[in-house]
Amino acid sequence: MLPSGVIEVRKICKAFSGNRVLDDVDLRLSAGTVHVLMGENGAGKSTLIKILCGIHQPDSGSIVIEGRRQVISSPARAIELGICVVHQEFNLVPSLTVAENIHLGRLPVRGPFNLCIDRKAMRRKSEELLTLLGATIDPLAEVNDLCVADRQLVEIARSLVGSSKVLIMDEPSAALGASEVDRLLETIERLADFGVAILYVSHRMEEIRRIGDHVTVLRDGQCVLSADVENVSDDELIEEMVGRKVENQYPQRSVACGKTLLHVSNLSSWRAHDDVTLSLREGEVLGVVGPLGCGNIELGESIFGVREVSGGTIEVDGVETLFSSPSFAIESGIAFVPQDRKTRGIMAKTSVLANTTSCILRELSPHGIMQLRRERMIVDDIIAKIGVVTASLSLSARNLSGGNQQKIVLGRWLLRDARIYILTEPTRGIDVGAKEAIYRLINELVANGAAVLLLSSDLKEIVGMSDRVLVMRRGHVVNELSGDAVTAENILSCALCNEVAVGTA
Amino acid sequence: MRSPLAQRSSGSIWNWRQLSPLLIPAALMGILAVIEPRFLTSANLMNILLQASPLALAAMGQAVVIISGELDLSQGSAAALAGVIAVLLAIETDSVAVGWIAILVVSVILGAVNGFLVTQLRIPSFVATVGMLTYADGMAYLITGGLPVDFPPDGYSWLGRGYIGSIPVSVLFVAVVAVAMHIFASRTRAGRALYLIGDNANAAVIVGIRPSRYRFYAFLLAGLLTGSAALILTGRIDSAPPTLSATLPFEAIAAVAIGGIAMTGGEGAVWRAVAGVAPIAILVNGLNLLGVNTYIQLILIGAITIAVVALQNVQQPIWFRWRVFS
Amino acid sequence: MASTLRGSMTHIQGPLSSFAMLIVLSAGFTLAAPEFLTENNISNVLRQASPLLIASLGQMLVILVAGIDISTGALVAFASVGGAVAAVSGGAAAGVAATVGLAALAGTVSGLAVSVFQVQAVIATIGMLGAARGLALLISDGQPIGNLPPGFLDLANSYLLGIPAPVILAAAVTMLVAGWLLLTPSGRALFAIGGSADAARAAGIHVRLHRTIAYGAAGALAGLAAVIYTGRAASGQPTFGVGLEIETIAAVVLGGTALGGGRATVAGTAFGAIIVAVLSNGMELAGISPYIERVVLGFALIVIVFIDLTRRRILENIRNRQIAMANR
Repeated sequence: MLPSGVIEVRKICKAFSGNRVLDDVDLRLSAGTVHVLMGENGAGKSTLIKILCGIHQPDSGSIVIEGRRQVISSPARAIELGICVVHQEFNLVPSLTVAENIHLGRLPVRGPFNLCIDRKAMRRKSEELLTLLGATIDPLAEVNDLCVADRQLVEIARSLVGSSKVLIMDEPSAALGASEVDRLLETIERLADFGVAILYVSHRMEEIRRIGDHVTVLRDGQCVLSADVENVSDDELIEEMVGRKVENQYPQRSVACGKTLLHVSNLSSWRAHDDVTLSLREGEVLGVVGPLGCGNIELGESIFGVREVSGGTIEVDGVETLFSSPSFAIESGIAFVPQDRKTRGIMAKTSVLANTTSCILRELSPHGIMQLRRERMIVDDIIAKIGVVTASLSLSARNLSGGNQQKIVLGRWLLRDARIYILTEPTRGIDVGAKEAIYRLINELVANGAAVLLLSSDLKEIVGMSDRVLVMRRGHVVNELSGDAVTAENILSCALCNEVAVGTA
Repeated sequence: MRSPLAQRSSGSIWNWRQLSPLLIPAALMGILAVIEPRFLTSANLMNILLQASPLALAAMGQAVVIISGELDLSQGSAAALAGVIAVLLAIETDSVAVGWIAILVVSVILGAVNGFLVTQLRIPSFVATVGMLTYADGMAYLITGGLPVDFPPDGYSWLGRGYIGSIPVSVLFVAVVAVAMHIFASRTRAGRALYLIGDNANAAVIVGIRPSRYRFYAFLLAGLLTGSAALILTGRIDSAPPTLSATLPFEAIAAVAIGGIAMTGGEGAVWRAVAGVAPIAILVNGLNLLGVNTYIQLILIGAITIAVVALQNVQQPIWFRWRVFS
Repeated sequence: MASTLRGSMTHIQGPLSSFAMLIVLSAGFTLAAPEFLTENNISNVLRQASPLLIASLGQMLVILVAGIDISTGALVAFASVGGAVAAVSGGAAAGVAATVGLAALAGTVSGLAVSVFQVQAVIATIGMLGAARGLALLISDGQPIGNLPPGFLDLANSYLLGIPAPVILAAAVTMLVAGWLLLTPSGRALFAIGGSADAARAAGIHVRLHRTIAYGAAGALAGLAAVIYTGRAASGQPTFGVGLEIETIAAVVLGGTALGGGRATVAGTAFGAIIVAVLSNGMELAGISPYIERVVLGFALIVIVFIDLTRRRILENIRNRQIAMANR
């Protein structure tokens, strides 16, 4: 029997635009225990966390803290209630020292009129907290000089300055190297000993086994499993994450592959991926998947010339090359859909028309003069083909829905007759209808002989769309699956567990 | 699901930025016509057009740079330096053509330097062009010893003071350039690329457009237009003083802002820069007619620039920004 | 700890290298023109450097919060003229108060435009440049305003224990600003805002308020510089400060402060200002025309900024590689 909870989440429901994101979710965090939260992308984990730290309000259900029902109306209120969150993007100021960052906004003062910073107290408290966490970081060091793992420790220390009862950590091990993860886990154990209740979001089995006391699995917004960690096996966890429903939302396709269009050998990039080798053939979809921080996204960037490569080569159609900038890659027939369409994909103020033709600018303007009528015809054509819904072609792209924007970001490459498509999270943040359209588009591309490199963290998508799958972990390719072996369970096993499991079928 | 605070679609015409270039001059003219009867005479209106011409050219040049996401603060000194060198050469060779060509060539070279500093050395544009400003200013003074260069050969000032029929050459010149700029912005690859780059340079890179190349062109173009403004200005006074128009870039930026082109780049038709000149020219003219101190013009232009840009950024009504200082 | 050593090195590096530059420059000029190293000239240089130093500290504050102030010179002119008028009618104290107050007011307006209305710093200060310069010309009708009460002139022309008053003022202001930035929460808040406004906001710091304060303080410091300029010329002049903004930016960058914000070094800025003043003085002594000075100044600014940016980029790259290696 668990001791009485520090914080209890009861029957929380939350919907966005009619979309049920959380459905009757129960969760209980007890002081001094580590509660692991697992679930796929879109399962509802981040929404739950946002509710707990006051960014969103639940539609129904209640939150009980130490026996009293509370409403977490804002992030400030959450902090008052003792709930602290360590996000993936650290809120640190790199140019300040560790101690100053720990006390950001809450510098201790002394002297007349509380004018002066009490540096001694600041240093003392910082050393206290850092020792508590088992870190050997100098409080006077500049955060800019610290590696990611140390910065994370500073971020954790920062959230402990106030009195915290609950610490929520969102995939903290994603950006860390192996030895650093060890230290992080030690820190968490220490914190738990100290009486803090910890909610730990992660997918890595070895971490879960080591520090987890209790685990909850979310799937499609519902709580499908809640048990003590020692009473549940890895397989059970994976099964529950994936679910037994047969997903048939991916259009069928026959696989007929041709010659090798792209061959990557020992490609490495600083802090991203190391020694990656893969081949891509005509007519195939190669999925590359792994836990957060595995390097698949950066791999795509390296191939396209967006990211600096530190070693290895790329062969396109037999020609060995390395692209120093996207324009060269584009000339060789490669297309690219970036991870974040808002910052790198769509030009928001520009019209739908101009966004669509942005990749064939040169072709549309021989001698430097734009052929506007031809442009118009081409766009009319392609917009209908990829199914973009817009009141007018001259509307600013920012007025389009995410799904329509994404259709443009992908579909415009059709105008170039690209042979190789590198798609990074192509269906992130878009509605179901648009997703289907994108999948259909991908199938069409492949049927016409193109090759697709699908870089995604959406397991269902990878399984549903890929002919072959490469599983990556911490920058390395750990396994390759093809044919019938491409299942969610197999992928998760490879990705999360230390043992290299199933091979090809 | 749109939150009540959502930005209105920019397709709507009830948008301050879209309307300001039309509303402000209309309002100003209305007020002035009432206060000062001399305002609405054809002679005076022609006067306004004349005064506005060089600024219109400079504003178009500035617009191109701002649309691409940068800023050119060197326009005034560059114009002065180009004017000085051009008139000196014209006098030396006793050739008007040399003078005209020189002024454009020098301005383009200065623009190229700006472009190089910003795109190759990656120096922020406000620093690079301010440095150029000081440098050109100093050079102009150095070459002339602080005195204006007078008496260019006959015919030099035709562009500044000549007439074709009853229309001043400078006004015609501006009209031609405005049409050319419109074609540039809407029908050339470079023009289109500049808008894409100014909107989202990272996205432009992804589709294979190189921001540095086109931004360089933008500075070249700005240089050319600044040179033509210098041509008219020096032609008008038949001399090339080392302080030809110190406030040129500031007035140009004000015109671009008033005309409704976003300071953040990526949008705004070039004609808006010309439209934005109208209120400034009308204001100056009106103040002169009323005998108001010319210094007030400077103040007003500065204040208006800040106000207009600030209003551009206010998309939600002010009362929603209640916690102003948080 | 290695990281601390590296950390403190970057903090010392700025002022150290600018100090070294200063020594080298002085040596160079002394060789070219021996009159450089006389007591009289040194006192002269320091006296000339003082208002520049004070104004540069203001520029440093604005750059610290990731902004820029192109209106410094115009603020000086505006404050000088306004203060002169106040001094003539209200006495020396009123004059000084008005000078500093007017400039601070103008700075605050710029600050509000930048922080509340999110106008870009360049644009806001350009607008203020025109407005302030115009106001200066308007108030003075283009003419210097003389007949200042003697008390007013004291600040610029008197000596205390053999040291010119402006130098003492500059030193005092330097220590005050350093104290504010190093010792008080509001000072550190500026660093936080410049380093990462988002992180600062998330930590509960009033970003808009502090940013506005930075601009206001920069204005006040420009006003203080104006007091010295006015006193020296014995009149308020609407033509003061031309090119001052360039000199202050150069001083700040020379001193090792980053243009991107988040870092600042008071000592470095002080040395940077002295370097600029030495350059001016040196060129004067060597008989170089003031026009060439302008040319050199414009050129120098670009070179300084370029070197600074390149140095930072290289350091950043090295640091990234080191961290990547450590992570393998």
